[in-house]
Amino acid sequence: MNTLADFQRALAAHVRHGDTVAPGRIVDGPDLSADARLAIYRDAYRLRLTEALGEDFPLLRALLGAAAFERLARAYLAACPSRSFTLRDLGRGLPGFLAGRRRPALRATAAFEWALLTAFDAADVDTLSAADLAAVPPQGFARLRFGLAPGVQVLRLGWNVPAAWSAWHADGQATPPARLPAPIDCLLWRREERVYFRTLPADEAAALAALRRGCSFAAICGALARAAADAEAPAARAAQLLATWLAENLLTGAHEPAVARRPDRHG
Amino acid sequence: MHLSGPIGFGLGLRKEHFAELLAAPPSGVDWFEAISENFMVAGGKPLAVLEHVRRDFPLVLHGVSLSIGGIDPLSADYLDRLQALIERIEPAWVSDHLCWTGVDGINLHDLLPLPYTQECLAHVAGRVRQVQDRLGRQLVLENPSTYLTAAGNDMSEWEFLAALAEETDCLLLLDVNNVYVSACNHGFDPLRYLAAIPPTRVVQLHIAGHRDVDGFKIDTHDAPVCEAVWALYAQAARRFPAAATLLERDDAIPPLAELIAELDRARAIAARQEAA
Repeated sequence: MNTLADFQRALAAHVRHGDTVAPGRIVDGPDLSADARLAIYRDAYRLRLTEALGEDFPLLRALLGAAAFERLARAYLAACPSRSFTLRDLGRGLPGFLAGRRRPALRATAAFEWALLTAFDAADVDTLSAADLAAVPPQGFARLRFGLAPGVQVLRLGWNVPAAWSAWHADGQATPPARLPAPIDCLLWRREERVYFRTLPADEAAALAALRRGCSFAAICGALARAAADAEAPAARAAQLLATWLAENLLTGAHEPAVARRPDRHG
Repeated sequence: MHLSGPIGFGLGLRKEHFAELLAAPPSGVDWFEAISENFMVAGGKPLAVLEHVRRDFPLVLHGVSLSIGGIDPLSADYLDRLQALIERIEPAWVSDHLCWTGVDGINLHDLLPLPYTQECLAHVAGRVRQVQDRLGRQLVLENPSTYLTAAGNDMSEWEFLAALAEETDCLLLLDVNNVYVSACNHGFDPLRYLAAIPPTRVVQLHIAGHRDVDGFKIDTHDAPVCEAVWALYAQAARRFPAAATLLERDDAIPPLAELIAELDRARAIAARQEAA
């Protein structure tokens, strides 16, 4: 019997795995066979989802080439089919899927491209500005704690994906990311509607990690000093980094003590 | 004085046109249709553009993932997100397709064909009522392009749609290109389809381009509307004079001006039907 549930499961199994649909479920037209009709849906599934993945991982696709990327997409979709209402989420598992594979530069590339996408449509929030902190007395800064805006991410990369990405955008040449002598921490974020990334100096990476853990500004300064023991003026460096983070729209609501927000600051 | 109802002739809102739309609101377009799922995101540029366009144009939300014919329970999360988007942009209509998109929790991201049986009609009608109750508004359902027919159908697609609208009080979006594509793929008379759809239910018409592949018509939305679909559109504009018209293009997207010129042709055809 061709109940609705039987019909949908049979068609889905065909679309995903090419499973045979029992004769009699689909009308076998005189001009166009049931098999040819089923193949339209099967091919469309593979093409549509491969294309969607390729749009979200354009450098990965360029590095692999169309045929290898399609093989990767096929294996990935078989292992990690979409469980989301939106194709936007399709590639969420791809960096992890690549973890066990032979070319770690590809995994790093996928992680980087997924982080760009994460920043692109992260939630809009009012970020903190220098003006928001103007009312904080100098002795109050030590106890301040900050949040990071949605979409702010730090990726540790053993391969120079940022350079490969920039080169690819500049001249269209996809060159595999080079192995780095030591891993870098790459900061990715969105300011207004644009996504940015830059490599963090070691002291800044340590300070941002402390900030993300919820440390007070005093503890952030401590992390900074430990990461750059030879620094001559850790307080000045901390003030400089704070100004940078504020200008880059990385930070949200400082608390302890509460910071008076200027009521006129919207958009 | 639009023949095609109060909101007239629209285009799909596509990211390829974002820069042009932000620079200046185009003339020659009365409204925009946004793919709901593309804007069911937390924030960033897509939502900013949507908010911007909304200031100058009426918007319609067009979904592809409701899976009104699916056997999995309707997703409360999806409906919550859709409701939030509806409240944010106040669309003229909220539409989706007569289809299913996945089963057992896995989304195939396609508009898959339903069997047109009494069992299925009762199932879909129950879900349309659920969605309408949840959203507090009439749902608009579109006929999909289909490439296969389930064995054992009790009725045609047009009979199914007409019965569904009657039973649930939902509205219809008649995709003229889909009628044509399915008519060619299944060998029925597209005028018979049009004649069976109750005019009072149809609030929107879609037109689009398709492709011929290995003896099939494939609904690709990557080309201008073909002459056969323009001819069928003239018939549809005559039968459904109150419906608004939308030109769809989802691939090989040309500059906005080119689509506006194509939309002008729809406007002229509809005006001739009014005069006739």
